[in-house]
Amino acid sequence: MTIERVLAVCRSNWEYRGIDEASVREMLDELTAHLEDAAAAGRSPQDVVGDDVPAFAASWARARVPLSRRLVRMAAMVSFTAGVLLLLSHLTRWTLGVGVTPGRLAFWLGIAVVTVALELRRGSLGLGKGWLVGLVVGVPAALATERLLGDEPLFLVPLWATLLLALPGLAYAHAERRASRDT
Amino acid sequence: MTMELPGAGDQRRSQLLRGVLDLCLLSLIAERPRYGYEFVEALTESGLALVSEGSIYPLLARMERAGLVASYRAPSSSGGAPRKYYRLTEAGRAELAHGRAVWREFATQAGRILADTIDTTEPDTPTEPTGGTT
Repeated sequence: MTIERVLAVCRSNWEYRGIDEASVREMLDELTAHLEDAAAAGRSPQDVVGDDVPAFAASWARARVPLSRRLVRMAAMVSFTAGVLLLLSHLTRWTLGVGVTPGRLAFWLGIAVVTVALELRRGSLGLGKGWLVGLVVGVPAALATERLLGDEPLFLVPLWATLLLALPGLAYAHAERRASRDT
Repeated sequence: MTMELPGAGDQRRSQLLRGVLDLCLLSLIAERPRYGYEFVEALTESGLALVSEGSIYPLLARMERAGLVASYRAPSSSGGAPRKYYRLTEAGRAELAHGRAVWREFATQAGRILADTIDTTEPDTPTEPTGGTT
C-alpha cells in the first residue's frame, strides 16, 4: 500500500467519523511527516499503520474526539447532505414541495451505503467511480424498489424543511471555516 | 514437553510494552519535547521496537485530551515541514512520577517471583522403579 493510499483511507475514515476539518488536516500532516520519515529510513507504510488501515484510523479518531461530539457532527453532515439533495430537487422541478418516492429513497440510500463502505476501506472514490456506484447500485435499487412498492410518494418535503435540514451543516461549515482562519 | 508458539516471545514483549507505552512516552517527553517519529526512534534505540509505529498517535491524542501533554507546531530539527511537538504539562509530570513509582514496585514484585532461583533448564528425570516383574 502506498503512502497516498494510506492517507486517503485515513482521511475518509476521519471525515466519516465526524472529525472536524482542522483536526483532519492536523492529523494528516502529522501522519504524512511520519510516513515520509519512515520511508526515508527504509520502512513501509504498513510498518507505521499496520495491516488494517481503517482500524488504525478509527482508533486515532476515537482517541482524538469523544463520540458524543463526533455523533453531533455526523448527524449535522448527514442532515446537510439530505438538505442539499432535496434542494436540488426543489430547484430542478421548480416546486415548493418535493414528493419522496420509495424508489428515490432506495436510490440515494443504496448509493450512500455502498459509497461509505467503499470509501472507508479504500479512500475517496472520486467522481468517475462515484457515478459508477450510482449506475451499478443506485439505479437497480431504485427500479427494484419501485417495482415492489410502486411510485406513490411516501411523504412530501416542503421547502422550509429542506432549508432546515441544511442549516446545522452550514452552521458547522461556517464555524470550522472561522476556526481555521483564526489558527 | 512444552512447545513455544512461533513468535510467542515477541508477542509477550509487545504486550508488556503496550502496558507501559504511555509511561515510556511521558518519560521521553520529560527529557525534551518531541514529535511523533522521534518517539519511535528513541524507543527503537532502547530496544523497544513497536509492532505498529502508528499506535503511539492514538495514545498521544488520549494523553493530550487528558491534559497530560500539550502540543505546538515548530520547525523540525532535521529540516522540512513544521512538526507537531509534544511537551509535558504539570499533570503529565505528576502522572509520570506516580507511574514510575507503580512500575518500580511492580517490577520488584514480579522480579521476585520470576527470579531464576530454581534451575528449570534440566527436565525432571523420573526414577526407574527398582525391582519389577519377571
